[in-house]
Amino acid sequence: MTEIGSIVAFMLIAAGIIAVEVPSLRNRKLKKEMLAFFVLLMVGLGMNIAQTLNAPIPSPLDWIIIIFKPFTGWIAGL
Amino acid sequence: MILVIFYIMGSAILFIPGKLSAPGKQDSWISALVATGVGLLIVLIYNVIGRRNPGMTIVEYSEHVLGKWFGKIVALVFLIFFLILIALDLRDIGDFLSTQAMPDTPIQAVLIPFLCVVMIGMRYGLEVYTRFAELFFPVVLLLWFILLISLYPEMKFEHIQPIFEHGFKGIAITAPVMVGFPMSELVALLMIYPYVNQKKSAAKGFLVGTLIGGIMLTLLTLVCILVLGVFGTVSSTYPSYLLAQKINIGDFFQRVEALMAIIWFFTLFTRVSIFFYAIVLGLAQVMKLQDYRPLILPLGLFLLSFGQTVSPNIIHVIGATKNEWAMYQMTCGVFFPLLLLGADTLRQNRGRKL
Repeated sequence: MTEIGSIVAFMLIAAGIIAVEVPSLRNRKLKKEMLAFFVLLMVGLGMNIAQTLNAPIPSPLDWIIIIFKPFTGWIAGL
Repeated sequence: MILVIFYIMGSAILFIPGKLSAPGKQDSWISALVATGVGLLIVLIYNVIGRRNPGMTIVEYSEHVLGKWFGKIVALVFLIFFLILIALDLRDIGDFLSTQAMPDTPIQAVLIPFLCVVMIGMRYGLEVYTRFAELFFPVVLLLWFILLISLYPEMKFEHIQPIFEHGFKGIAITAPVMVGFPMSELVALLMIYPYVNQKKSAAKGFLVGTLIGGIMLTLLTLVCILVLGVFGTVSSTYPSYLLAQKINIGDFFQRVEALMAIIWFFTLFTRVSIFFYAIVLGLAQVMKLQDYRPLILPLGLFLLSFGQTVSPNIIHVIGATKNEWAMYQMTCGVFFPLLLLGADTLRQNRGRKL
């Protein structure tokens, strides 16, 4: 139940953000800005909802470790 | 300049002593000094980049130098770097408050107000939080000196002996940690470099700020080891917070660790604001948008979640930000700026020949 409540709350926040930003964007006819705005908003909303549902979200730190692991071994060998 | 000092001190103020002392033992303060020197060199590179192209942020610069597509990729690498850093900073503040000060409060309750304040500051623009930093700089400096001076009775000089026990190798292993964090993170300041009013003093301020920030961190590391000893510093997550708890003058002046937390909040706020600004502005410049402001609120929403999911727990943060992390930071903070500079020099030379 609390999950649904949180998801609704996040939706409301997103709706609020749209209400604040979109009219000004529409008046100024900024198409690209509008697109970027919605993409970022949807990613943000998706992340928050995924997190509420306890979906496994990978940590970018792990990817960094994978990328740089060979180099640290090389440096320690010096 | 003040912005730079705050920037360096933010978050590093709590973590640096512990991080450096783990490999460096009692010599870690020497490593901090070395890292400050290296940090100055890095800032010299940044200053050269800033002077090469007045009026361009590093994102515009990389596109200018490397061409449209490759430049955008490098710019995105910088932006992802800032994004991870801002998430970690948010995570730090959330973890700190929910473990040290308010254990029953969920982390969101800390992040939401903090992000709201940052976003409000962001909508008003760069000048607002620069003024904020200027306003609170004396306060932070004062609190800082009160802390250090009142710790004097607790210092035991046998803690830093024997000096140089692990030789230069120990120092060489430790210094990169601080070169990466916080020195390499200064690259984010190249995003606001073009907006400084007095261009001449900007370069100088950048250097002096780095020097002062580095020295403050060095002193802090030294005091941490003097008071807590190597083991005490290494084994605590927030050594400088523990340090402030140790203050006790005549059973009257004690339990002032809140001062440390206040310094930390101010400096961390500056840091998060700079990263936030760097990301929205950089994103707008990569996509050639006219206005970066519409991106602020969605990014805030994104960060609310990303700040928590960047790492599952604090043990993971500490483990993941060890060796590979310093490498990653140096790649973004030193290697890529050097690459840009090199490519730019090549381009100019070729242009002259043609």
